[in-house]
Amino acid sequence: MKNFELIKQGAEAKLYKGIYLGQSTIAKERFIKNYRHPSLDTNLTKERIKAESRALMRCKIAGIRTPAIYLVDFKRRTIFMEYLEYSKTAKDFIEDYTKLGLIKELSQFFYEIGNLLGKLHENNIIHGDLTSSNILVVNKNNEHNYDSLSELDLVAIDFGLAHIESNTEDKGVDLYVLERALLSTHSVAEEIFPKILEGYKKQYKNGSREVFLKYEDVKARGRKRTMVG
Amino acid sequence: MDLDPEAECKLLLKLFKNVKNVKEIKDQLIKGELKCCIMKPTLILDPIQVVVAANKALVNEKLTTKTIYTEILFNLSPTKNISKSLQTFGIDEKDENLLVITLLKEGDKEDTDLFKKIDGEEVSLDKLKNYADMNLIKRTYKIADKETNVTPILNSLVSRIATKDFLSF
Ligand SMILES: Nc1ncnc2c1ncn2[C@@H]1O[C@H](COP(=O)(O)OP(=O)(O)OP(=O)(O)O)[C@@H](O)[C@H]1O
Ligand SMILES: [Mg+2]
Repeated sequence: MKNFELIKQGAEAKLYKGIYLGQSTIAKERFIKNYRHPSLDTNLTKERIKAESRALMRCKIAGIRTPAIYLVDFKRRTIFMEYLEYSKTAKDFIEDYTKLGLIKELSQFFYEIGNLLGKLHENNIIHGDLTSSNILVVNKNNEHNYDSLSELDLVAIDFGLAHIESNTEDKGVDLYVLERALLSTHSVAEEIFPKILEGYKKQYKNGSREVFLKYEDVKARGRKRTMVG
Repeated sequence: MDLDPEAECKLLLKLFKNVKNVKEIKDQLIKGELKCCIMKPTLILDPIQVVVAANKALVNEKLTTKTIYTEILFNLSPTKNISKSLQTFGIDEKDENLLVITLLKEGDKEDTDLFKKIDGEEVSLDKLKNYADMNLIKRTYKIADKETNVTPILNSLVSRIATKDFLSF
């Protein structure tokens, strides 16, 4: 792709960064899977691209910030979207605070992540791959400064596995996936996950109880699996 | 303004105020005598809206409307209803301010004959947002406060334009 450099090769897609329409842009190109029949592959890819775009839009309408979409190109199997220049992943943000021994000061931050997830699920958006790398911490004033929580926004990204679903099972799994991801990424995970759940509960008033029950279920099943396997 | 390299052209926008001959211009547009798209500036907050709409029209293989210029208007609109889109974003006889959009192929010079037909004063594009009607924009694109409280408005606008053919809002 012209004017773009490859920044990441994932399992489903290649991520390029460049300037497009005069904007700092990420191009997410889903690659062809040769083991699939070509027309099936084209259709599946088209549906995945639509599902990803739908989730990005639904988030905005629900009051969750996601990157702007500049072009959805089914022919090139690519979504062109806003690159958030003044951002770092929640993963790096948490690690920076952990290293400084300042994690206690992030209570409000985790609570807000919980709010964001509560909003997602309240609107039946299942992310499908919740991790601390799939949430960006963005400076509101276009500068590289992440010291003051009030100057930061949260932006949800990577809806490549997202779908719309109202049942509590998928929401429970979403939370479980996040917990596992946090445990394998952050030494302070045990401290932060409860705060996230607190924010989630506060936001998702009439649904969180049921989701928490499902989440416990999913977790118990997961444990059994690891004991057996 | 730059578009997708595949489009092999650039976009030129000009803003005019106090235009005296809008009826005449509208008639010529309908007859297909003007190679451009002329619209109300009230619904455009920033050129990026037009850039995203035009780029989509050029990258797509098939058009939903008759010409690339009507396609730009159609793409700008959040609805899939063609005549409503053209009506909402196109010009009325009572309009006085016009936003003119033309496409330039590599090496083309701007169509001075076209711009000479417009009997009005050209205004710098930097002033575009002074002509925009924020409330009308939010109503037209159905953007609630819940959304604008967290998401920059241009993000909401361009994302709707980019996805309206397969999503509904
Ligand atoms: N819009 C964006 N703005 C800024 N950085 C981004 C953006 N999108 C992605 N990134 C960066 O690229 C990384 C990978 O992006 P993304 O999660 O979309 O791809 P992925 O292939 O699914 O990766 P993974 O498998 O790690 O989840 C993100 O963790 C983030 O650091
Ligand atoms: Mg990711």
